[in-house]
Amino acid sequence: MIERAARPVDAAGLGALRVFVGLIIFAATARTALLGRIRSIYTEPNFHFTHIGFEWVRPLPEPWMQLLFAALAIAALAMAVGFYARYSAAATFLLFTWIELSEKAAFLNHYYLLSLLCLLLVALPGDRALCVWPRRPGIQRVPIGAYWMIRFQLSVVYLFAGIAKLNSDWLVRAEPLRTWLSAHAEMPVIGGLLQTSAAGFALSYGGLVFDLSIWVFLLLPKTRRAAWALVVVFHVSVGLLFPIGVFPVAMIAATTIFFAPDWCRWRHPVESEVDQAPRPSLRPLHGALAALWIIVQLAMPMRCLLYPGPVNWTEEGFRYAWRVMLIEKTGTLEYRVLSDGQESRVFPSRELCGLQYRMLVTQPDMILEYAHHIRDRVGGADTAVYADAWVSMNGRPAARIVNPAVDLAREPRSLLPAHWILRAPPAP
Amino acid sequence: MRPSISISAAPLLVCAVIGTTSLLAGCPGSGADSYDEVVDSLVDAIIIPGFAEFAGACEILSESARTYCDVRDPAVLQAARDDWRNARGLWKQQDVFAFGPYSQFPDRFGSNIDFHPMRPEQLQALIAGNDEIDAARIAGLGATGRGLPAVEFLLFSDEVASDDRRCSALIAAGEDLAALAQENLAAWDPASGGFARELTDPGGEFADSEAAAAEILSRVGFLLENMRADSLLRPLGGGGEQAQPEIVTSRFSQHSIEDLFGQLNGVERVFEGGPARIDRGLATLLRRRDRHDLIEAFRDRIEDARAALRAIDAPLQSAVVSDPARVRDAVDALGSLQRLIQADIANALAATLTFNDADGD
Repeated sequence: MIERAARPVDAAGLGALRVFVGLIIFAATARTALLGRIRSIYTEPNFHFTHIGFEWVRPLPEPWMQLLFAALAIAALAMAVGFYARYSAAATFLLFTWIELSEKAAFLNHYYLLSLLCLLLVALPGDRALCVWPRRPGIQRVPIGAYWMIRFQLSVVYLFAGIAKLNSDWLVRAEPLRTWLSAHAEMPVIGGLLQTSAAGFALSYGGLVFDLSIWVFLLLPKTRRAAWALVVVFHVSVGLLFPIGVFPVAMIAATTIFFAPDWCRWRHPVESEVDQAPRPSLRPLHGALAALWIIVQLAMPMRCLLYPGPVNWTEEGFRYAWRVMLIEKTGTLEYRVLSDGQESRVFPSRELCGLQYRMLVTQPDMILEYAHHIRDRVGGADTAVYADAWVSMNGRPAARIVNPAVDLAREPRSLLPAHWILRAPPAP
Repeated sequence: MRPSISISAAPLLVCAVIGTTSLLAGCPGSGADSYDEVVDSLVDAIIIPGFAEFAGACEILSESARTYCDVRDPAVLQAARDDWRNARGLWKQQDVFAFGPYSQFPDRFGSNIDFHPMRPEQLQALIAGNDEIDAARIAGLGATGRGLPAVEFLLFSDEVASDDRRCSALIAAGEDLAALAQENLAAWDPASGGFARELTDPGGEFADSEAAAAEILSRVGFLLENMRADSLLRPLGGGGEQAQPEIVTSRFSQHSIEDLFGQLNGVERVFEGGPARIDRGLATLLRRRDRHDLIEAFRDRIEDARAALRAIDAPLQSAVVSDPARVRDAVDALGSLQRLIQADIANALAATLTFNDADGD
């Protein structure tokens, strides 16, 4: 296996991916800054939601957060042009991931994917390919295994996005697509069609089949071009219908990695040119690290199986699992606080930014974390915090998502199943 | 000879595809979108006429305050107070549009017209002093000393009958309020390039009509939360303190409960599209999704909320002390309506897609 993975190939495809990822992160960073989101999401709120194990990662105060974004933009551009490519990719990974970890409410699957791709570009060879500045002529050869790792990562995204759609809401009710499509009922030409139930089902099943199978067709040389064309059509369509930012662009660009390694050359190098390039080597350590990566990437999306109840409702094991575009969830939340014999109510919308509030009201782990924040702010050992949290998911009538009788101030934050999350209401 | 490697047309093609995707994803759909129709209708039938009516009512109030100070007749004073109540009711109806010029710098008409709690001591010091009192002087007091609460403080006091400087302050506060109301109208009016254009011609503040409608829906939900948290629970001692009757809204005129009715009227107008249910409101969008159940639920719950408010013995500053249970019932009834809007109706309209500050996936 290692011998097959060590087969030397042109690194140009990896170089192209590095260029795309760098440009996309640069664009996403600039967009965040231009829309004023550095302030509204990172520096203005007094409270920030954290990831378990990364509570120490916090947004920096002004003006340091702006400088952090500026540094990220520079690093991403440097990565794109190939300026000390591996170092700039490492800087991009660290800065981008820090920002993503510093506010859980801002978590996005495609930003997680960009972080992973950055990390892979740091770990894998290919840093000398397609370097525009400084220009590095010649061919860099890398083991084909480097391509396999990226292809594996993208296949995992599609596969688990497809598996996540195997639920009754998606299959039997065509939700949430049916609701989402109805918002486009009067689009020119296709608006009327989108309003129909048939369109909801057709696109639900089409999306399911696409996610489950496209990576296979991208892997097969005979179907690769047609599959990539389908990738373009699919992601452009999704991008037109739904506000999902850079995700379509990221997937269209990243899936070029399935093409032949020298797909982006004017002309294919002659054998003598290839022979002149240094031959890459693969050691058992590389194989072990690759195996570890594969195990982790397969385990993360599957960890939701360890939790009771539907993951779309409980959201235990939901993040870092490629569960994309699956739920339309809305809700309300307020807390009842008992302290020193007095009862008061806390409305979290008063303290949080819009994005934080919208994420908080439907995600039980964030509801718990904010309850702890209230407990710590109120102080007093006897402070009890109860959540009055109602959620509507995929057209179901609003139902309580958290047991209102449980004192969340005494419930620990952990990765274990939370007994205080109530069962999902039945579908209408 | 070193091999010369050039970037080929293939990656350029990919870049072109990516660029086109980006551009297309950013383009709003054209044509007669149902969201377009609803948002246009809300602007044309409710937002602009509502602010225009309020501006007209402020003119009348300003004039009646001047007339009273000229004649000092109790009947004229009563008429002026009725004019204040009318203007107040019209403003509270518009509270649901607490965005744009309402809250954005530099205008912040929401605060300048209706800051709560106002600081009477600013006006008292002005009246007690010797400086000339005019509208500019009142405006100089800032949000805590001007607007509807300032006029209320001056108008609903018996001292206004005997104190010339108080009357001067009343006239000045009325003029300042009338000017503010006109500026507010101009700041919204799309005909003069006002903020309502952001709603009717999205692409700037709002990405599309769905985002504009979602913003309005979001404001409806948070208005109900503000009514519960600020207007009822805080005076009730909902923050864990004793009852604080002195912090009810419109306490000088004992108009607090009517304020809440005005705000509920505003919620209903946005939902139904107007009092006669002839224009398009948020219910139109539900009707197009065959969610008549949610329309009926809204009507039931808003009537429940009104009934709960009617059950409170006015004035509110007495009720929060003497009958807190009924005030709590109103908090719960409004909470039930808030839940319906923020959870069920927002879900049916997929409002989260456009609520999201970041890109949702």
